Amino acid sequence: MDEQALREALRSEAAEQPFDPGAVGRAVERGRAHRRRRRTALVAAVPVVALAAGGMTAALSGGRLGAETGEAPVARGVGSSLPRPLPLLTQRAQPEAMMLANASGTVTVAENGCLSLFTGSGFMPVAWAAGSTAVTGDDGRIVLYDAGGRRQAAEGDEVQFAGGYQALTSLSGELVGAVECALGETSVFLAQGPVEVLRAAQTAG
Amino acid sequence: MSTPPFEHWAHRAGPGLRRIAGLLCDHAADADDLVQETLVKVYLRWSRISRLENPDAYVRAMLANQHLSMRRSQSRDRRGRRWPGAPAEVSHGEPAVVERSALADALAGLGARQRAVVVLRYYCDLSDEQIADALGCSQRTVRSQASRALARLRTTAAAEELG
Repeated sequence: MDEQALREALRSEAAEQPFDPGAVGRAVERGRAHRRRRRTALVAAVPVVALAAGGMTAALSGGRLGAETGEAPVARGVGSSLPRPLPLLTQRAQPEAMMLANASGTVTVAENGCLSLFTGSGFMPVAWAAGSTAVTGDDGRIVLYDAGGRRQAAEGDEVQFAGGYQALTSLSGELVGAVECALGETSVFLAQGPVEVLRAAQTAG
Repeated sequence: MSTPPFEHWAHRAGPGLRRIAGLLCDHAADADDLVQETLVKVYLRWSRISRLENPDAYVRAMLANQHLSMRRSQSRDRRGRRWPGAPAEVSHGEPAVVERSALADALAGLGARQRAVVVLRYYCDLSDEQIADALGCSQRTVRSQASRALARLRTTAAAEELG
């Protein structure tokens, strides 16, 4: 095969590749969602910076401000206890029909920083229920909340929930959030029932 | 100068990106994913990319790099992160047996980087310097990858002719 023949063959092959115009809308949608998440994180960080700066000013001015207002320790460690949103892959909407396969394992933060389920032999990529969020709790563990803000489980908890896995290609537009949380797999487990904690993690202290 | 809307650009450039993605990937679904991921990244950086002299060339490079990155990630994850109950065969939403052209078969036999070099050089008509810039490697690497890829494609073509 000479170079010219290769050029022609590639052009011919490429001509048969169809483009889905819907990809543009989906890219815009996902891009906006990404920006919203980033903005939320920034908005959450602003008061901390302000408080930290206020605390520092108070310290520099002799540390009396805190003593007078009773809020001196406000800057101490506040950064570490701030709820920090975690990358999370979720479903866009509640399913019309439930899948009833059972998933069980330990809620774990995978290497890529996403909340996943560790089954004992590997990480199961999970698309959590629509509206779920995950933030760092007071004890430093990641806590999963449902769409109503109710606590579902925390990092280290052994849990089970219903659902089923599905190919990402068949879920076009149905997932939102951090696609990297699919752990590079081509299918994910859609969590569709409530997360039931079988055994809560032991916490220090 | 006002920024052209991302959507207008994407609708115009999308088919071209999809054609390149189709040459880079073995499966149509993977090519669709590759274009989708690239478009999201372009959207997020559009205010900067739209001011470039040649945004299309920049995005082609992004696409090629995204492809290499996704291939690395898939390869890593498929090695050690299967979970119980996962399907042995990954469904790509395509029939189990897909009629592929001889060229597609031959391209499938190349490594990801070799394939990217072939596509950028012989389909996108980029120079070795542009390919090296796009893939973040030296021109020497581009030349050696292209040479190996061509040799392999010739071997495949010869084998097919022999039947």
